[in-house]
Amino acid sequence: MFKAVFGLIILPLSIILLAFIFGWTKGGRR
Amino acid sequence: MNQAAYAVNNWTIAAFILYLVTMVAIGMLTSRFSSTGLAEFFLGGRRMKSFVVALAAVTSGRSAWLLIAVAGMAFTRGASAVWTVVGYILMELFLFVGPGRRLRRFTGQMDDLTIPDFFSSRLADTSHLVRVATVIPILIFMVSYVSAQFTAGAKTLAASFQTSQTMGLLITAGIVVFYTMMGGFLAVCLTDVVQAALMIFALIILPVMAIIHLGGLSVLLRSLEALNPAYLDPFALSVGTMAGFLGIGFGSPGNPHILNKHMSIDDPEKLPRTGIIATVWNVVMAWGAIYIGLAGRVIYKEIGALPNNDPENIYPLLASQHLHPFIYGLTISAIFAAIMSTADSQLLVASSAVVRDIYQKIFAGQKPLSQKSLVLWSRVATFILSLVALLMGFMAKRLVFYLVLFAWGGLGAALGPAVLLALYWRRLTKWGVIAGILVGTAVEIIWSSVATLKAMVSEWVPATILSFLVVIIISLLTKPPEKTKEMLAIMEARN
Repeated sequence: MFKAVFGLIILPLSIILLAFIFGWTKGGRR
Repeated sequence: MNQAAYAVNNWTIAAFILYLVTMVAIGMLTSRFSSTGLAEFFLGGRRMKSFVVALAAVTSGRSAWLLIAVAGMAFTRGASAVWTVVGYILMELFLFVGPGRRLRRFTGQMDDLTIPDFFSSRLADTSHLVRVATVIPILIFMVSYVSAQFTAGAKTLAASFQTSQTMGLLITAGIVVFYTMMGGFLAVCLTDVVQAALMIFALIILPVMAIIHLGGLSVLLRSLEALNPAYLDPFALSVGTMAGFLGIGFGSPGNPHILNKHMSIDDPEKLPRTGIIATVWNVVMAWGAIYIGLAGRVIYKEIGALPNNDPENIYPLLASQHLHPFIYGLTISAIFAAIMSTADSQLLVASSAVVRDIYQKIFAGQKPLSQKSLVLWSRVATFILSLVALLMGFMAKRLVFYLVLFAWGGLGAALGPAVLLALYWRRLTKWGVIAGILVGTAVEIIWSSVATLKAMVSEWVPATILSFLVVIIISLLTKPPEKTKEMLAIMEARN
């Protein structure tokens, strides 16, 4: 069941988190 | 069970017509802006807003494949289907955060409108060799891609509303051609926003309704486990299959209809944050499709319970049986939205290859051409190319089917490594790019036709890796253009 929770819930949320981290730190003007 | 099992009434037809009318209206409203000049027609004047670019980039890349094939894959394989979406989502996030911004800065500075334009400027190629070498695969793959999208639209219409295949083909092509010809890039992007909204609506409401119908998420997971524990295991697949699934992401940097969305944003510095919107959209749509397949498996249990015993029918079947006819009409429109949002972008890229790259840059050369006449020619080219795509859909179905097999991965392998290296590596040469196009395309086709090789890993993985290596090796053996340091400085210069 843990594997299912990983693939169906944790994995998509982690990708969104990654997008926020990279998008926010790399974006914007100086 | 057959296709007639889908319940269609006047509400369904009303929803679908509402969608089509919206597309036509956008085409009419954007036509004046797009008539201004070639940069407006092919790139929205580089004035696109963040939200529009985010949605246009993700919907252009997602054809009906997402709603139909990914949902079907999740029905067949269970949770391991997640790897079909992880690769492209991460790659597209990367494109927004890094390469997209460099591409936008450089092409904005050099006034490049197309990917062949970009290669020509970046490699200082006055001989047009690299332009011709990039235009050929773009034209062949884009037109066959458009043809396949028209055919997919016709099939959806035939299955949902019992129209004839010919009528379906004409309706699909007619609407796409009308708004693309009238409104150019702006119409393509604004329709993408409406199409993205429809797709995400369908991909949220349908799995949510199905999961509620089953009694909740935990019931879904327990029922899947009872059917077959492997359905819950995202790692229940071979290494080769996983590499093939993840490698779908190699297609994104080589498909010009995705890259030109980055090139169209009003401010390159907005691209990384635009990537957040795009990724959220990509993730929600992708996992929506996967949950549809999983819930469908629990509800229908066997493939034999699906129309034509085809798992790819899970999305329309579930929608027709669990939603109000009007909402069902919107979910059918969402399949159409996926098809049209891809076809319109590809049609415009093919048209830009003809008018910008071949007519204006190669044949007209230094001869001054008025912007108005270039836009007129672009509209004519859009119309003629869509006729070619339509004729291919009628007369050369097998050829289209064959070419489309290689379209996404083939363009990814042929152009993707060269695009990325052009943005980061000073030593890149035009001979490297040309060799990469030849090797990427050849390996893609040869690998796919040898059954034992294809069984090990999908063709786009070796094709992209070998293309990458060949671009580097041939570039190192040949002389790079001058002033590459200045060119990379343009890409790095933050506003």
